Amino acid sequence: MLKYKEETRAITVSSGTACPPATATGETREAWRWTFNPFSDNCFLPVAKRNPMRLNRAEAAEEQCSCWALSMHRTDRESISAFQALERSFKRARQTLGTHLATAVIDASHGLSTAANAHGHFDLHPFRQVNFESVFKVVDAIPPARRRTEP
Amino acid sequence: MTSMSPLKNGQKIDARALTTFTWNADLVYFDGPLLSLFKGDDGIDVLFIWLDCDDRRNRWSIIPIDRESLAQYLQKKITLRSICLAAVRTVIFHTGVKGKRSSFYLLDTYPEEYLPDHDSYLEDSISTQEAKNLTREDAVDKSLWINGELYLEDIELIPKLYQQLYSFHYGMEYMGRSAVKEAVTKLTRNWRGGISAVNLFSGLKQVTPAIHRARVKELRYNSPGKIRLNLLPTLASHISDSMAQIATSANFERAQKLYREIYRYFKDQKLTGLDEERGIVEVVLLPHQVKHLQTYVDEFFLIMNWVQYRENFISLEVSVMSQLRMLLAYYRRLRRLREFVLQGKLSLDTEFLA
Repeated sequence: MLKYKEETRAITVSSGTACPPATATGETREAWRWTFNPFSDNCFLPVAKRNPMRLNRAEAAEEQCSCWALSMHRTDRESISAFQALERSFKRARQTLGTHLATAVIDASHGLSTAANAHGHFDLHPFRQVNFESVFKVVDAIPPARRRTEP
Repeated sequence: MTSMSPLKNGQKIDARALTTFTWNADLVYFDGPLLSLFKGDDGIDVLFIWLDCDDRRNRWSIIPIDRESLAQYLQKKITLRSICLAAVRTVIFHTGVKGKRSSFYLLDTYPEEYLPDHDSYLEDSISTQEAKNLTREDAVDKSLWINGELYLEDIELIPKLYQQLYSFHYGMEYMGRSAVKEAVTKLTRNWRGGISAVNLFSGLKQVTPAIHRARVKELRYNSPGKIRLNLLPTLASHISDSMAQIATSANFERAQKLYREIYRYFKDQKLTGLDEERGIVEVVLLPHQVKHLQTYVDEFFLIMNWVQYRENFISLEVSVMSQLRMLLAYYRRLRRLREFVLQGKLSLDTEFLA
């Protein structure tokens, strides 16, 4: 059962847009997530729980829905690349998004995951009984961005 | 427990000293917005840049951004750092648990500790679809040709009408932008109790970033003369096409007939909800009336040949009454502009011969 079933169902009912999306599945896949080390209480909370004050603009149903999911990437390379791109513009990204890379192989017992976008990002809508702190393992600190000359 | 860097300088200011900002788009979004484009009531575009947070609050900066810089940033030609360094002033504010903005500070220079990197381009991997959509069309130069005996009020009215038509087409063309759809829905739903038709057009202006607005490049009058604008070519084409639709007497008469018929229907049905421009009282329509009014909307689309807008228009969750108000407000402006065209004082497409 979805951990945030009530909340996601409310989005489905109010917007008519399925949340989680109908295309979300329980496929077995590698997942990479930005966390702190050691894990903090917030590391596996969706942004709607972790930092609700940043959500005042999330009005589209898809956005609201995403706020109740955990952000992941398909590969470590995509995860690092996205973080570094953010950190180039937002110097304190580590303050809110995490400092380390954690990984796990997730499957149908962990939740429903959406299709990855062109940059490897996908959402995992977690199931209630899963303890993600024991599922995920911290691999390393996210390396700082190297200076690039081309956009 | 996380903590924020203390602000090293800055003068505390009253939030009331600031203009009101209307959200236009999130440009970078990861687990919530990190960089958003807003427009102030003074017409100036600003960026809201996320800076920092602790367990209780988030810190944001607000910096103004001009049309050229915004275009270049969206096209990945300049960095966020260069925009921050060029900012003539920076406002810092904080949001608490409920998202309410508080503790505003004014700084002369962008705080060094938050200055983005030298290569802080808006990379595809972090930019939102909204940010990408903003650059789908480049503005081009186009002239409104003017001629004949013109008075000051004509010079005022022609650009005003054109701008309002441009705003309407922007709303239709960019309905895919959340801010635009929200604005159109809100403005048409609230169109009652003294709020005039003008609110729709001015409201749309508030969600049109400078890069999409019609900017005056040249103003010349020596009979003939021109108002050279830098604007989105698709919207200019749609205005010209709509004008062309009612250019001929036959088509104009068809449009006029529809216009008169709608008002006659309202009178017959004792529906007082369709004022021309001023105060409007919302009425509850019966099913047969909704059906009947829908035929007017369809007929209007047919006359204007607006096949491309049908889907966006239907997606608006507003009553058929509100839809008609919007369309008729548009039509009145187009009709007024047509008078200038007929009098030989204005041409949207062809230069007058000297």
